[in-house]
Amino acid sequence: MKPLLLSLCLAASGAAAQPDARNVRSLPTSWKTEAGKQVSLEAWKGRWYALTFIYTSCAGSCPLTTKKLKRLDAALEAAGKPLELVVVSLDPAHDTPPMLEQYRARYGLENAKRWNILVGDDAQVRTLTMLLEFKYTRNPESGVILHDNTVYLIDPKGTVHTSMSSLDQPMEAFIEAVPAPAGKKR
Amino acid sequence: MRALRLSVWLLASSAFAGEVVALPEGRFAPLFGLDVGQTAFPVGAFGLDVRPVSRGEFAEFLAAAPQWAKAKAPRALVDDGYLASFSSKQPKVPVTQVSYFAARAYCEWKGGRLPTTLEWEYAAAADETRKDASREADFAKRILDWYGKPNRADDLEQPGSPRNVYGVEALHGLIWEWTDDFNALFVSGDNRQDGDSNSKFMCGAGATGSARREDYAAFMRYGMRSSLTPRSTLPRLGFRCAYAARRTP
Repeated sequence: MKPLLLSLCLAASGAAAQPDARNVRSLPTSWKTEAGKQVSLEAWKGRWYALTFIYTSCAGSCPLTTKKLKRLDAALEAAGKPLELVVVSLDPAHDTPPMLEQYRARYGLENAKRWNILVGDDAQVRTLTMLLEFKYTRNPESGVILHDNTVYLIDPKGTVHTSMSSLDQPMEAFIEAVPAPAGKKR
Repeated sequence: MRALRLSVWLLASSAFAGEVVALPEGRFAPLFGLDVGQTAFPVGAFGLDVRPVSRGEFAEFLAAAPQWAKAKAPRALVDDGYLASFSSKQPKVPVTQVSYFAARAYCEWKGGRLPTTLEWEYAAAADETRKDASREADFAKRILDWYGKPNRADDLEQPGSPRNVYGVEALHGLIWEWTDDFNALFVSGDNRQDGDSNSKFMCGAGATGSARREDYAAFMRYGMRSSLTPRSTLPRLGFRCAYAARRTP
């Protein structure tokens, strides 16, 4: 068995992704905003934004992700470079408008206008997560979704500029990577 | 039980229209993914290509969707090996060197989708007489004999594993195949950096943490899938499509 295991390890280590190849606009995806409006990520073309994934009934890491996003949002505003946040639901069947409203209320996000929570269908979620190489899987019996915890900084072309863990990684480098708005020098 | 064969499920006019079989709903214990206390997952009824998608079938797709041609497919969706050895000669040989995105686009064009890993493993656990032979030593040995065999130039012309009890062929012994959620096993960026969420997949950890120690063949497949990105292409990596279950006449 040793040669088999070795080749498996080599295969695993040789497949590192090239970050600059990941672009959220490489394939079209279709979403609904909280207001019920149909939207694609083309709507954010030409702008920098942060993108991540959550689901509202998530009891595991999602509360941490949401709290970290709130801190990121506040820190970016304080640094004079506020960023729109695109938060995509991993659980479109259950993340209905009332659930999204409850989610906002739970985290004090009722007036967080830079937050855009998008809900699509499973195929859209699979397409977008694959473009980003964001991994998730749903337990078909319990409904629990295991998922990566990554926040992406998307550039105006749709390419991943950088990313950070939404859990334990410090966010200074991420904030540093966000360019100051045109006309404003830091 | 013989699976119902639906050879004219879709696109019967295609010169290389593959056969599709209907798989019944059931329950299956995949090697990974079950929580403590769970013994199996429900699998809904679905349709599945009898054989992997062939070069001839893929050539028809390329004619209909030229944006997926070797020279045109964007590097965000395929790596440099995409269709590198593709030729329309040998139209019955399985198409390989296709990325996940290309495979998925093909299945959508066909009116289907890629099978989920659960569906693929459910189908692939069957042999000629048993629905779930994955715990049987003779079944595992046949598959592992193939995994241990060096590649030969004419491998893609081989028939692969015989038609199983569901009517599906060549799930083993021919190529690796894409699944819709092939990367869904690692749930952290890198298990070396992010802690132990998947220490069972650290190299050399072996199959001890999985549901069935004896099913080393399935462990190899999960490891193989986890090594891929959606842009990856390999000379021995192809796919087949799944379809929504249809009420049969």
